[in-house]
Amino acid sequence: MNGDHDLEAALRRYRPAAQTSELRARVLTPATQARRTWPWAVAAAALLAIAVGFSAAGGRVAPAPADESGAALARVTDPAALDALEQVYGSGLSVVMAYTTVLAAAEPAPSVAPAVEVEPWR
Amino acid sequence: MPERSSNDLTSLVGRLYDQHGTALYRYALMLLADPAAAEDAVQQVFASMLSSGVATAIQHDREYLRQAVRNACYSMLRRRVTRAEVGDGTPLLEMVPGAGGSPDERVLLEQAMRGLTVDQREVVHLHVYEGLTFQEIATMQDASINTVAGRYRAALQRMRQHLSAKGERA
Repeated sequence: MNGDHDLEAALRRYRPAAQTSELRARVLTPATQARRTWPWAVAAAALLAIAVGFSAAGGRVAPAPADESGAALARVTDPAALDALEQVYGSGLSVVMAYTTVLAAAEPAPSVAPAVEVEPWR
Repeated sequence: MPERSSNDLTSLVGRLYDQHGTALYRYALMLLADPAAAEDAVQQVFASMLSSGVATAIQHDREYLRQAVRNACYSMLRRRVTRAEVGDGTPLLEMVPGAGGSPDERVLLEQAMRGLTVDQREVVHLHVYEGLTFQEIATMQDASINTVAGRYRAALQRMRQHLSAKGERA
């Protein structure tokens, strides 16, 4: 294929593939019923993996700012963790929510003070 | 919404799908290079028409739907929910019956298409497969005609390079 015309002629011997026949039924079904569920399962699995990784890496966060708005993103000091969250959840409010979940998962369990041994008989 | 009007809306959307669904899906497929994501994009657009009832107010349905699918696709690309980079082996192109194509050539062209940027693939699709002029594409994309023509030339050049490299190796 030497020129643009040859290439265009070759392209016209083909066309983009057609959709599956099920798409029409999906399109005309209310969105709540037709929406696929697998992306949520993938997202949940990814979130779990991120939470475990974050926890294992000892992810550090800066002190929380006073406001509870989107500035929560600023608390993430590990850019890789934020990038991973954005890949799964995109940007905006959803990543803030995801981050909050990860933060909760990464938080060390509150240490329980050892029971004081009391010798009541003394 | 009364029952009758809901049925009317569903049948109107069904008619719009029958008229434009295949072309819209093909456009989405060229943008996303991922059949499942392309179906999702088309579904999103029609589902939103069903839920909002906007279908009854559309004047230029083909242009409206194409723009809506374009927006849905670029939104998905921004959220990186497609698997275009992975390439799951599902064909992007199919042979036009009686046009004289071959399976080997189809695979080569498809590989060359996958090697293009989304912008380039879009211009190739709109110009070659939908027959739009560069001016029409420029208007649709809110770009200059020179930008569109440049993207098209760059796309063809890139495809030729890919095809000649494959030809030398074969």
